[in-house]
Parts: sequence; structure tokens; C-alpha cells
Amino acid sequence: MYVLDHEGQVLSSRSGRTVIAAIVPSRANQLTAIHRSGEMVLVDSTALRKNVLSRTLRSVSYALNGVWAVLLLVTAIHAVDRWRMKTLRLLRRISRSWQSYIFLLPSFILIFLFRYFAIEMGLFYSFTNYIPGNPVRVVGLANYVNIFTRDHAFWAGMGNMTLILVTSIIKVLTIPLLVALLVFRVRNPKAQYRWRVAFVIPTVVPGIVMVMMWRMMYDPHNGFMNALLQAIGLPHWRQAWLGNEKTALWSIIFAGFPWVSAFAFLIYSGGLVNINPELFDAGAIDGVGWWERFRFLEWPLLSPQRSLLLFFTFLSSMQGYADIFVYTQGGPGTATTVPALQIFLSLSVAMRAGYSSALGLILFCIVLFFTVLNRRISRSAAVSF
Amino acid sequence: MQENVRELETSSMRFGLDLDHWSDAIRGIWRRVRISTPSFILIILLFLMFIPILVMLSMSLRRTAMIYADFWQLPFPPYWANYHRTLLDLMPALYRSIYLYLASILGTLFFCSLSSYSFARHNFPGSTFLFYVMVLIVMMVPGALLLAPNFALAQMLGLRGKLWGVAVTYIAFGQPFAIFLTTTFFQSQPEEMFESARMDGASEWQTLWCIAMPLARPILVTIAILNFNSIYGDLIWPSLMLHKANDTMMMALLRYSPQVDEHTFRPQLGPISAAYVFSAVVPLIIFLFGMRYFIAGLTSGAIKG
Repeated sequence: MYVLDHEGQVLSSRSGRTVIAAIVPSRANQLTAIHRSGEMVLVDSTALRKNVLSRTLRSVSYALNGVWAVLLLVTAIHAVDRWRMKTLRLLRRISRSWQSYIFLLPSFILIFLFRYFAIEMGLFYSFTNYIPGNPVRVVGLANYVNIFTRDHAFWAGMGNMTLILVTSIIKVLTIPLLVALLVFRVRNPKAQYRWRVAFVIPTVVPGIVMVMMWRMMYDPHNGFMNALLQAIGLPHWRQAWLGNEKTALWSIIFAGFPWVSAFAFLIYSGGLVNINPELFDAGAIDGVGWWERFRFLEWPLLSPQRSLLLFFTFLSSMQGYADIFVYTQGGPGTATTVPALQIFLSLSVAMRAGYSSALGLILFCIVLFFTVLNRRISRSAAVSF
Repeated sequence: MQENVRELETSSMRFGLDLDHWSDAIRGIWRRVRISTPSFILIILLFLMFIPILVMLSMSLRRTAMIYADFWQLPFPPYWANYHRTLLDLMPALYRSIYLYLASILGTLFFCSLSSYSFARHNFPGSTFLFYVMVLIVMMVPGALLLAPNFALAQMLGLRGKLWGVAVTYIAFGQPFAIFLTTTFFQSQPEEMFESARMDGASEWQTLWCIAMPLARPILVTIAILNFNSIYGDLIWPSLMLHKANDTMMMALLRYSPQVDEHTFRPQLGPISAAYVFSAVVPLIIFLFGMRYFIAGLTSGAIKG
């Protein structure tokens, strides 16, 4: 942006994305602002000055009100003896432990900025049409109305998200538990440890790289899946797994087979190790089989671990979208989209930060609703983490 | 139970099936290979788990043309040229990723130790309240939903497009969980130790730096390992924050499609799978160093319902 004086000399210039390309003085008390598109707007500078002045006045009056409130509070505390004593004692304690506050300060600033302030900003932006680099305009509830009435991808995404949520809960409740139980049955502690390491080792491949590997395996031309079908004599079952609307979502759900999540496996193992071994001995004396032992001892005693894992699975499948982004970017059509992916795509591709914030807040409310609904789970998670 | 088995045996005899003989034979095989049924199931699951990794390893050691010709061919003799190419292409991205991780984790550990020491060792007004505000409540708020506001905030603060800017945001995101773990650990350290240090005239800073932190090494290593997975393996946040010129490892991998041969328009499967294997090398090293801490941290009662 360039600011010119009467002779056309450049007074100041500022690079970056602004809507106004240049400001040029035209007549007395009038400025011409030139828009990027070439449009010109006449601005009355006295009106502008008045506007700025009234804004300054408003902030001064806010500040004055604040000062009044503080003064009132101080007088009230000073007037009542008991309050004064208490406050003085508190102030003395605070000033004595200044070091603790200094230690806390960096973390506090970071958390406040990127959590609390960010939530507030998100709330504000969700009522605007904010696009980074452009001026913010408040549009009221338009974003929310658009999401609920016009955005078909949002509703398709909610359906997909529900399916992914249900299947991931089934996944985390079965296979990792089975593996943990089987490893726990191994008598020799050294062998047990070796098994544990063996099942954790695949986690060294970063999750996203694992997803890229699976994408390669689903490749229609030379992927593992199609090569396998060809090899076992089912060539007509071959297809573009991620490109077909009917198979795309189920392929994404199937990926990662056999779904031994190292995290869930280790949590279950920890739960099993912490069960009092006398219980198993008593069971053995009573002659319980492996099924009774599982049904009446291990399953109920693992319930805290289970609820913890359910909570994390719930959170991660509501919010997870990085894998879908790598597999299909939500396509074909809306076959694999989820709301969290929409948040990301509307921000990174369309740069619609306002719309994205509104989507984020809707998802946030859903998560909060279920968290509060299931207080038992959230409390146990809070205790353990 | 045994009666049932006997009944079954007699009935099978009647049908001319010598069940006894068969079960004896199977038991004999089991005994010979010394594998119990649980181990057998575990081995099968483990094999299925490793299929993608094995396929990648095999593909990364073959010529791309050979992969397209015969998918099931074994990589003998191994073709290492794929790795030469990949190493050259991806080394800068790997350096950037490691730099980003180191900056983030050092900042996270330093700041979280300061705060945790305060929470665990000092009794100051508002400590419980601050612990709730800074740790417990924040951990309940899912961070991924704040993507748009955090992005706008990072742009406002001028953190976008710079590696250290991304590191600052990672430090901020990692604080609550790290403070939580470290505070619990610091609280378990005996107070007398710190009391005697103070008697000898050590400042708060010295007790933290010379006593509390060295003793907290297990938990600090655990935090470092847990954070490694989330920072090195993060694709979304860096791809929003950084330009393509200084991309991280994951960003580079996602777009990696080298042109080796002008005549093939299909993806170069050999170098690409070599890149995938290459990206797991650093995590493997970290894992081998910290495996003890990691497995112990997750299994030994760190999590109680």
C-alpha cells in the first residue's frame, strides 16, 4: 500500500495483503482510497477524524469506568476492618511467593494465549466472514445457518464420523484386549517382555507414514490388495479401493488391520499387571476355565482402563482427519468427508477462517455435550491424566 | 468336561474318524515346535501387523520397473540405488524436522519443569485454582478444534512461515500435559531433600536445576518420547504454518514423487517406499533409546482408574 502526498511523492509504503492499494489526497479535507480492484472511494477526512476521535473517547470512558470500579473496591475493603486484615495478609503471602509466580509465568502466558484467548477469538470469528489478510466483517449467524441448511458435506460428514466412531470403538475394545490377554498368559516374564516390545515396535513408523503405506497398498494399479486378490484367484474383486464411492470409507476403516493399537495394548497390559495375582490363584483353585476367568475377573477389573480408552477413542475419532486427508481428501464426492476435515480444508484451501471457526465450535459443542453427559468417563480420565 | 470329550471320541469312532490319533498328532507337532495356542495367535497377529512394513521394505529394495512387472518378486539381490536418491532428496527436510523437534522439546521441558516445581513444591495463594485453569480444564478442551483461531493467532503474532514460530506453538500445545505429568512426579520426591538444600543456602533456582530435574529424568524422557511422535509425525499444523520451501519430513513425504525416468508416468514406487522406510529411521533410534521408559511409563500404574 502506498500513501502519497499532494505532489504525488510517496510518504510511506507498506507491503502485505491489504485491500486498499493506495491513498491519495484529492481536494481539501478529502482523500481518495484506491481499492485493489481499481475502484476509487472518496473519504471525507473530517468525518474520518471525527470517527477516530469518538473511538478514542469511547476507550477513555471504558478506562475511567475501570478505574472507578477498582477505587470502589479498594474503599470497600479499606472501610471494613476484617476485609482489610484479610486482604493485607493475602497480599503479603502473594508478595512473599513472587518467585512461584515468576516460575509459572511463561507457561501461563503460552497456555492463556493459545487456549483461552484462542477460544475467544474462535467464538468471535465464527460470527464473521474473516479471511486472513482481509478486513473482518461481522455477519451474525450466517455461518451457522449455512452449515445447518446448505452445507450437504457437513451432514454427510456427520454420518461418516458416526460410522468411524462406532467402528473405532469396536476396534479398541477387541483386538488390543485380546493381544494383552494372550501376552499376559505367557508365563515366562522375559518372553512376556519380548512380546510386548514386538507389538510396540511397529509404532516407530509414524502414523502418517503408515497411512501413506496403506494408501500405496490400496493403489488400483499396483497395490498389495489387488495383487493379493489376483494371486488368490479373485481378479474380478479388484478395484480402485479409495476411488470408489462404495468402498472408500470402508477401506479407510479397514486400514491398519489387525488394529493392534500399541497405546491401547500397553494400557490394557498395565491394567492386567496391576490386578492382584491372588485373585487368579483363587480362581485357579476353584477350577475356573479361561472363559470364566475372562468373564468374571479380567473384564470387570479392566473397566477403568476401558473407560479411559473409550474416552480417548471418542476424542480422537471426533477430531481425527489427518489420515482421511492423506487417503482421499474427503472424496470421492463427500463419501469420506468428516466435519474435522472440513474445518481444515475450509481453512487451508478456501482460507475461510470464519466458516472454519463456526464448524470448529459446533464440533466442540458436540464433544463437550458427550463429555459432560458421561461424567464418569471424563472424571476417570481426569484422574489418570 | 471329560465325559463330554469321551462321548465325542466314541461318536467320532463310530463315524470312522480317529479323533484320538489326530489330536495326538497335532499335539505332537505343537510339542515339536514348542508353541502354545496363545503364542500361535500372537504370531499370526504380529505377522499381519508387519505386512505393510514388509511390503514397503521389499519394494524399497527393488527397481520400480521390476515392481510393476512382478509384484511378488523378492528383493534379491537388493537394489540400493533407491536409497541414495531418497537420502539426497529428503535430508534437508529431516534436518528441519529434527531442529523443530529439539527446539520444541527443550522449550517444553524447561517451561514445564519451572511450572511443575512451583506447583509441587511451593504453597502459594491460588495454586489449586491455577492448576485447574492451566492444566485440568485445558486438557479437557480438544485442541484440534481450535485450528482456525490458533492459525489466525499465529499469523497475528508473526509466527507463520518460521520454524521457531512453529516450535513456539508446539511448546504452548505441549504445556498442560507435560506440567501434569511432571507435577505428579515432583510431588513424589521427598520434601526433606529440598529442605536440607535450602538450609545449605541453595536458591530455588539451584534446587530445581541441581536436585529436582536430574532426579526427574525418567518422566522428562517419557514426555520427550511421547512428544516426538506428535511433533515429528504431525502433518497438518506444519503444512498450515510453513511454506513449501522449508517443509518438514512429513510434508516432504506427502509430496514426494521423484522423476527418475522420463518414459514412465507412473509413480516411482521404489524411491517412494524407500522414503517411507527412511522416515522411520530416526523414530527407531529414539525408540531403542527410550523403549524402557516408554513401556514402563505406560504399563506401570501411571494410569489408574
